[in-house]
Amino acid sequence: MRFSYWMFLTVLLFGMSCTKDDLCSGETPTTPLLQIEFRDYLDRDALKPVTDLTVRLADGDSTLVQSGINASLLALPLNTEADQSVFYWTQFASDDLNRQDMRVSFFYQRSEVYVNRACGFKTQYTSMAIETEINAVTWIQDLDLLTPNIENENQIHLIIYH
Amino acid sequence: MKIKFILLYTTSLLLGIQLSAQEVMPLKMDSLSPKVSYGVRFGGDLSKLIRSAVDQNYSGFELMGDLRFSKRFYAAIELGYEDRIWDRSQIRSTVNGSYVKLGVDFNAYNNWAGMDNAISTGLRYGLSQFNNTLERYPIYTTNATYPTVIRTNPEEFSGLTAGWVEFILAIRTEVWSHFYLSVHLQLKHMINQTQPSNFDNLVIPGFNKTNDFSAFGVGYGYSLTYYLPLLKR
Repeated sequence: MRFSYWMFLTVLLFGMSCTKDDLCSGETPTTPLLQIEFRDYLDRDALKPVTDLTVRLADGDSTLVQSGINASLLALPLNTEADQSVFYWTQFASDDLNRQDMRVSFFYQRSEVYVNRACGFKTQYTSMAIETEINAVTWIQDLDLLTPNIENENQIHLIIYH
Repeated sequence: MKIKFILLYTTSLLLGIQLSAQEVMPLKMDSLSPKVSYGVRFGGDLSKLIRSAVDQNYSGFELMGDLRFSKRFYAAIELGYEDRIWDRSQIRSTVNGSYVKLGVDFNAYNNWAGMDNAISTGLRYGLSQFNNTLERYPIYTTNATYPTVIRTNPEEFSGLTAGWVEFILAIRTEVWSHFYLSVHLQLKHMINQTQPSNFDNLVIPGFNKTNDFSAFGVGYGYSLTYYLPLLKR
């Protein structure tokens, strides 16, 4: 009887010390991805999915970010180590004759913000500016940056018209 | 049976049932023990020394003392120093500083005449002054496209303070003439702390590990004390 009381107390006390401390919960907002929405240039309120879009980094290795995108939404990672992220966006990527390849560059400032002990720190981006390459196959007609501050993923940051 | 009721009493105290100590104290017990020894007790925490030897991310010690001022109540003090390293994949930081805890212990155990063992509950106010150094961290990302480099510029926050209240449950036994071993568990509630800018106090000397989602903390101790009797009345 006496033993079980102390066991109960001990379990109670140590149970309270078990917290969500060690694993970063997926619900905790950490470094945000850039949320992009694709719309029709002619009917600016209508969503218009891209076709077979491949996104690569404009680095020496052309690191693949995402491929086979046929959606009207795209979540893109931004570089946490530099004040710019440069990509090659290729529509119709599997079609050697009709592929449309253009460079899209994002320029911004970074700040590193403490989240909690499990997740540590995240990066937030401010003063966003975008540069799209103009070439023969440029398929982006217009863009609309809704906010210069990329601080969470719960909103669309950028609308691209094509 | 009596010990069972004492345990019931202490557990119900812990569980927050409002009972006044005065109401439950059996007043007739005095007639059983004609003289009570009053004195001071001092000693140190063995668990912190053991942990210092075993855990390379920890070093610390705690000195403690108490003074009996009535049959059941003791004025208590603890002084300590801790140097801890928080070393996890997302954050490495070091925290070092000293603390003091002041408060009262209530002994719920009815001793036989001449003995001075205890099953006690106590309350403390704890105060700590410490430094917190953020040593390194990576950036947490959910996408692995860009490898993140670990930041290693230490950032030191010094002169931080924290204050908390602490509820203690302890068992104390005389193991040798005038020498006592005691085990205690602590439940703490943070009252105030200076927050380092864009960081947090992950551990606080004396408080132990803080909690991101509540103000509560827990701790334990295992101490050896020497009791110096001063007078009997």
